[in-house]
Amino acid sequence: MSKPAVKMRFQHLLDNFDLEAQEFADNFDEVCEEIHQGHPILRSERYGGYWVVTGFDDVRKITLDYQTWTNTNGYEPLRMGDDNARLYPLEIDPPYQTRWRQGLGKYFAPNVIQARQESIRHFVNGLIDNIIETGQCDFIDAFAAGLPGRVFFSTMLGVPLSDLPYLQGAADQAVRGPMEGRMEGWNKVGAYLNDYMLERQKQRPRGDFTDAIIEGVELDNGEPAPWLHKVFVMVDMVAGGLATTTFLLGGLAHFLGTHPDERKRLSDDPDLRANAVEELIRYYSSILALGRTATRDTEACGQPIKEGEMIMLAYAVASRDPREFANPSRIDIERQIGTQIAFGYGPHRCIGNQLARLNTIVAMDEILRRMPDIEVPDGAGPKWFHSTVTRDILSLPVVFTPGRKEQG
Amino acid sequence: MKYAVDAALCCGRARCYQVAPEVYRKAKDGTNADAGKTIDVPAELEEAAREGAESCPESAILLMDVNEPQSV
Repeated sequence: MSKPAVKMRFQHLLDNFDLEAQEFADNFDEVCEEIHQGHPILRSERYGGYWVVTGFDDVRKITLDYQTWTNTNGYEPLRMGDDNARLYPLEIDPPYQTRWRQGLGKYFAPNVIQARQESIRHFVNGLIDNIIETGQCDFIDAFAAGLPGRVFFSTMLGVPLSDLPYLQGAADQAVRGPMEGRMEGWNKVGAYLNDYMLERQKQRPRGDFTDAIIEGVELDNGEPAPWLHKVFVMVDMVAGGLATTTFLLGGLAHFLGTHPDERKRLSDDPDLRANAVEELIRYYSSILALGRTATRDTEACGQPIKEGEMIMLAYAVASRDPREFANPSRIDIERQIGTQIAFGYGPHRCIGNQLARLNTIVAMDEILRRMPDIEVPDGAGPKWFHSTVTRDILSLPVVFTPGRKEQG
Repeated sequence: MKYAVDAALCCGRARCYQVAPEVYRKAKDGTNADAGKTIDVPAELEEAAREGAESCPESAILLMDVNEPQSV
């Protein structure tokens, strides 16, 4: 970097790092820029202490070395390696993890997801119908939080439409409700999915994703995976797919609503949209960080790490690594991205990456068609929020010229 | 050695079978023909398999040492 070695504006953050610091969430571009001026690994003293790895290459290298860096001790500092409350396959390692990915991956393959496009478009336009006559809304409440669940529960799991409001409500409570109610929300989601799987088990197989989970895979000892693992596979998909896509869709509206020139270019040239979405996935990386635990005394980025210590792989920060992405704080809709580190890397890389992409492309199509002058009003900007794992936009007011409903 | 191709990650970037055509096969749509499967690699092709796996920008190919300890 060309900047002189002066004291950083956010030196106090770098000295005792905290993924959840509001100051980090509010100044994400600037803090990432400072991190990448000589801070490949940062230390936090919260939750008994954890490390944060920030560089694109370092993150990639560590994700591939699953024998040194295990997922079985949980995905963030407050998790424990508890067999009865594990998210499968996030909180396990190859080769058991690999069998789950092999069993489920084909339902997320690009051509299979592409076939969901019109179903997704239907949900997108239904949500836009709810707001199109008003000319204003909170985009997160009205759209970004609603789409991922509808698509996933309906098109992937095959849940009846009549159950969607309940399940969406429970998922909302779990993912974005008041903190004290979130566990209850997760319990509702888990109970619903458990009952749904029991019900589906009695029915004739449809050959879908739900059937693949019910069929399950073998443990390393050759025994069939227990029912509890299957329920937590379902929960893992909900935990991994909903809030992350909500953030990305919020990012989409934030970008369109604050970049009128690019909005016009994308309106005029649909061929630019798929690549623009790749750039938005990079810039609005949903997963702030996910954890690995050292299985032996080792090192990361030259820093000695003791057996049992946790490192958080900061995908969203790695997405801003200037050694990989020139001018990383700038959104360049024609940027050519080699590896989309926002989805992670290695055996745990996001299973739903194609679905996230398609949701966002279809949302962009329909927003540009129906709300072509969408704007984020001056001073009303997004409210950013970080957990140790995710970046979130809690609210995003937008305005647009009112239009007509399209669905009955 | 074995390799496993993750069907959710393979999207036809076409590196693996260009770098190591003796190991990886191309499907009609440009993806890896063995997506979703786990395949044994003969000893003499392990180096090529490794190079092909490392070339994948999606990290869709996982190499597994068959002698590694099994654990849950």
